[in-house]
Amino acid sequence: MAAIDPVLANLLERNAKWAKAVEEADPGFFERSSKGQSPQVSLHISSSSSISPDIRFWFSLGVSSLTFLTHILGVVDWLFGFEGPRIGCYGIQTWRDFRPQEHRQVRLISAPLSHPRTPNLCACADL
Amino acid sequence: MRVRIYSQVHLDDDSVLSVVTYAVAHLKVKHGGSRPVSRVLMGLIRHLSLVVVVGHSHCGGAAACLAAAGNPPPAEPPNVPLLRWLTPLTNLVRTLGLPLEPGAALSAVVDANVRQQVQNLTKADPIKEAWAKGQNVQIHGLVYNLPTGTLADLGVTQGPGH
Repeated sequence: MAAIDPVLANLLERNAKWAKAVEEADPGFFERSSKGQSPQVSLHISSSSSISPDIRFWFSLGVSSLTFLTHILGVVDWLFGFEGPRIGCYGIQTWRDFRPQEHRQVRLISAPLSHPRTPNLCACADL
Repeated sequence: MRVRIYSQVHLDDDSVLSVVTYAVAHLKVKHGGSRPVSRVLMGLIRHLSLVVVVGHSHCGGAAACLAAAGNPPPAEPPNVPLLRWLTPLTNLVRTLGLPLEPGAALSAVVDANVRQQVQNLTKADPIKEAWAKGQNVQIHGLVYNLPTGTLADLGVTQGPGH
């Protein structure tokens, strides 16, 4: 068997770090997200090009906060979704700023500022 | 390839083939010098293209196919788009020797689907052309486990060296 691809190994390592950070910030998050989904805005069709991350769409609607704990859609964009400086323009908070008790209106998309190579969460907005 | 109901790669699907062509044949060139991407990303783009087929646990699409596979194959192709879309996977499920326990059976379907889609990709023209030109395109099959948030490599990588 060939040795694991270094790029894939890097991907998996980042995933493990991300999963750990999320679980620490919000224990039980993944277990809850595996119970199903009932997003209020349930279909989002857009370009998924790396130069037009979906989050711009949400901000173009004036959405400043996304509820995601109870309406998670999925985890996407493993590689090319966000770059740290780019997302910073939108003032998105990081996992570090996350407070579990504010979970109904979390101004949080992902951890790209503190972990530039982690994937973003694609979340669902309460409009 | 964002909106895909259950990670299907159909070889007559112009949408998915267009995405693969763009990603494999064009994206790496275009992004090479024009964007201030990180060094990691530059490294990725310069020396290979990475294609990942990612299934996920607790998948509704897989569950639907698993349920449908319990019935005999219909004589006529389904007239419902979603059922039509999922027909290849439903047929694949019929060929699998599945565990009796429902959760384990669903996991087996998810894994088998990822393997199948990786195989399908190896037969897709944009991939074959890239390989023929010596481009180091690696196709990996992964499964995202919802209750843990972690990815598992199924070890079904296809590409130069595999």
